[in-house]
Amino acid sequence: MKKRVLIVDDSPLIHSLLRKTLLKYGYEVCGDAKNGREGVEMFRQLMPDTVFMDINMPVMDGLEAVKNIKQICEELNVKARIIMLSAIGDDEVTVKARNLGVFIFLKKPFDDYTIISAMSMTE
Amino acid sequence: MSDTYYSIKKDEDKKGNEIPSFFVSNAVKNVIFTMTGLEVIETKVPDAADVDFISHISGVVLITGSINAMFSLTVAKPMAYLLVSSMTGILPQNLREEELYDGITELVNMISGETRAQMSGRGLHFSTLPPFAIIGDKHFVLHKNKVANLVKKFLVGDKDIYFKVYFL
Repeated sequence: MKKRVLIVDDSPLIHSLLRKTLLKYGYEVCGDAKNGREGVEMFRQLMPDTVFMDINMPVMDGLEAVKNIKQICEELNVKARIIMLSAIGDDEVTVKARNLGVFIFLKKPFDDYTIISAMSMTE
Repeated sequence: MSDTYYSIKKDEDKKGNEIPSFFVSNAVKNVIFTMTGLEVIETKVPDAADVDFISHISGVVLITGSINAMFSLTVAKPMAYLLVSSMTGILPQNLREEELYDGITELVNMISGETRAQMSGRGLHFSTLPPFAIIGDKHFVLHKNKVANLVKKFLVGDKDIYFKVYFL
């Protein structure tokens, strides 16, 4: 069965780049959210296997969204791999993300290989 | 002043809070090359008076913290088409205007992130606000009465990219 992926990013361009790469390598993109709050809501509805999450977004940032998603996972006893994909990549933020339970932290800019390598690590 | 810093107006009170010029250069070149595959060459900045007259789209991002500054990445439309088309694989004639703006905005966001990571190694930390775009032929960006403190010019082929830092 295809792995289902939710993309949370405020840039439509990043959505289309990720979608293109993921589809090319046999993954299913089950949802596109444009901020953290939308991402949390869509996660609850769609229960994807993996989430690509940006940090710097309006309404709710990615770190806050990860906290919420992790709570949902605990409440419902489900697992989801969260891949952080952000332009921000300094130690302070990556440590914070890791402590929140982010599976892999990827830094923008990125290429197909980085995305697919990260996806393969979630399997 | 050290050769590693390029500053049009150096504010002595802010000594130590400047961003090394080569951090910015590396960030611009690395981000654009990784996202587009295009080779970026840094070139001499012309007289300040010429700097603001090639613009059509500026991607802008504000940073706050150890350093308060505004970064802008300014390009003319043909360069925007080249960059975003190379990023997305969409033919230039099929790109929508919003995609151009979003693409340039995303590039400046990544450049600020790259710079932020390099600065954190020097104990300087800052937050980044969501980026935005300024659009219009021959527009220019000012902070109060200040022009940019740090101006960098890059070439992709024969087309220009300007990257500017305004210390706020």
